[in-house]
Amino acid sequence: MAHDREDSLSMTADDLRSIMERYGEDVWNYLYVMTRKHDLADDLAQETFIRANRYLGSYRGEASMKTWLLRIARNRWYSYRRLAFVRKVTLPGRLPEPHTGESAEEEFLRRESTGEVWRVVMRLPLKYREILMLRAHYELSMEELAHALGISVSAAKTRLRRARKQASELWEKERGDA
Amino acid sequence: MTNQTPDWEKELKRKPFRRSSFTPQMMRRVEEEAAKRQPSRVVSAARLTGAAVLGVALVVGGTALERSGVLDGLRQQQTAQSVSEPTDENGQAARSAGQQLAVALQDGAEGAVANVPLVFAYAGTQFDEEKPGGSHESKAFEPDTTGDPRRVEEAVKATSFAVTETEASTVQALMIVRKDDQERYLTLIPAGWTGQVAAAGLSGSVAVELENPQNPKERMLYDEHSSKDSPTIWTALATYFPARKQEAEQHDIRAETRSGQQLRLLYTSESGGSGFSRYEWTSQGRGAVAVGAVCYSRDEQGTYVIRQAELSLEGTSNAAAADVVLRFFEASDGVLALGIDD
Repeated sequence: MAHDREDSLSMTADDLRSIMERYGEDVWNYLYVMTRKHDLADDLAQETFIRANRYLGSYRGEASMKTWLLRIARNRWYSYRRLAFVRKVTLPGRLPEPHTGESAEEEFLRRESTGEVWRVVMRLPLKYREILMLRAHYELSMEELAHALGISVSAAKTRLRRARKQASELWEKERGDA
Repeated sequence: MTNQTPDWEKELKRKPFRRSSFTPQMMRRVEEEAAKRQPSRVVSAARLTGAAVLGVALVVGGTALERSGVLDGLRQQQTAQSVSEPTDENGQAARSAGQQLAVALQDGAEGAVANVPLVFAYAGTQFDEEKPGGSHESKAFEPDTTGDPRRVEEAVKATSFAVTETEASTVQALMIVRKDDQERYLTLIPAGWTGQVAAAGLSGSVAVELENPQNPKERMLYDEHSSKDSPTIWTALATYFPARKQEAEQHDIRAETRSGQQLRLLYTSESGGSGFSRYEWTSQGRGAVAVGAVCYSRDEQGTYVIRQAELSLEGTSNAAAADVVLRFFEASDGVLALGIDD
């Protein structure tokens, strides 16, 4: 398995497949939590691995492969967001029909989510759900977290504290509404 | 739902979703794409004598188009086209010094660029160009040897656009300079195509018409319109942004229909104040007849600006160039405004 630094620098097709099989779910889950859109997570996840394959030479092994991939995924998402328009991609012959039922994303969450905690997290603002996921689910250290988010460690600690607080408030509110 | 507030660090260790949504089909697509995009080695920017290499980096906004796959049918491997240099009356090369534009390489190492030729056009208003009797003079592009390229380089550094080596060989950069106020605009056009008209509107708009000298039936038109309420604006909105059709009909304007025209990519801002649409017009037995893109924006006073680029093609030999041109259009919301070079 070519995940050691030296072997990774010469990623073969088998290596790429192996990395996707091992980390594809993580990358997709992260992107879905960020985007809250199935199709967009699909596209950005694929883009992440295409770029990882292309820029493997820049991977120095200073972070785990998973952290490196999540960083690429994050960059892909923020590059997408930086464009002027908020995209609603419409494919030919499939103009959206207005409807009042459950959205595709709501249905996906209801069907696939493993628990109420994740459904609550998905309702948080982007920066809070991102930091909670990176810290709690992907177990990034505070230093890795700060580096990934481009903020100081103390700012990351503050943001994490606020994320937990808001998640708890949302949890309490929904418990009260239930 | 339990009453106790969760220990988030503990609860979120669990996977968020029951199954992996990163499917084998997606993995196959990644592998196919990775196989296509063999990483290029660094291409050192070859400097022509007196050339000014301008650094341009534009975020590639076109990957959504690539992912949609709808343009795959238009893609062709393109052999490098020679750039036809404009000539003076004696047939001598009119450019005193070749200028080049450096574009970031998609598959290269950091800092790797590909050079595309840079040509210039002066755009006059109807008052500049109109001859007695109301006719307008069409001018071929003239080389511009004035101006400090470093100022232009600074202006474009804020954006990023990347091409593959093959794509770079299919295009050239065109700088449109308004004669009245020296405002400069940059766009990509197919390599070797020559200019027929470069015009400037009194509202600040610019337009160019180009043709393929090897096949004059192949043409490119870039045009802009600005108005609060005009048939041109409403026709474009109705034709290329179906959600605006009803609004256009309230202004007694119907969408333009061309048999075989299809929208390929469409997105708008949530407020509806801006939008981008890319389309293709095919004809049975002929393939793509025209490909184009339209973007619009609306300011707080309700004034619309519509920008459109359309390339009329015969066959697919210039399809790759058309794709790069329209990707640049998308990334720049039309032509890239560079400001005034003073």
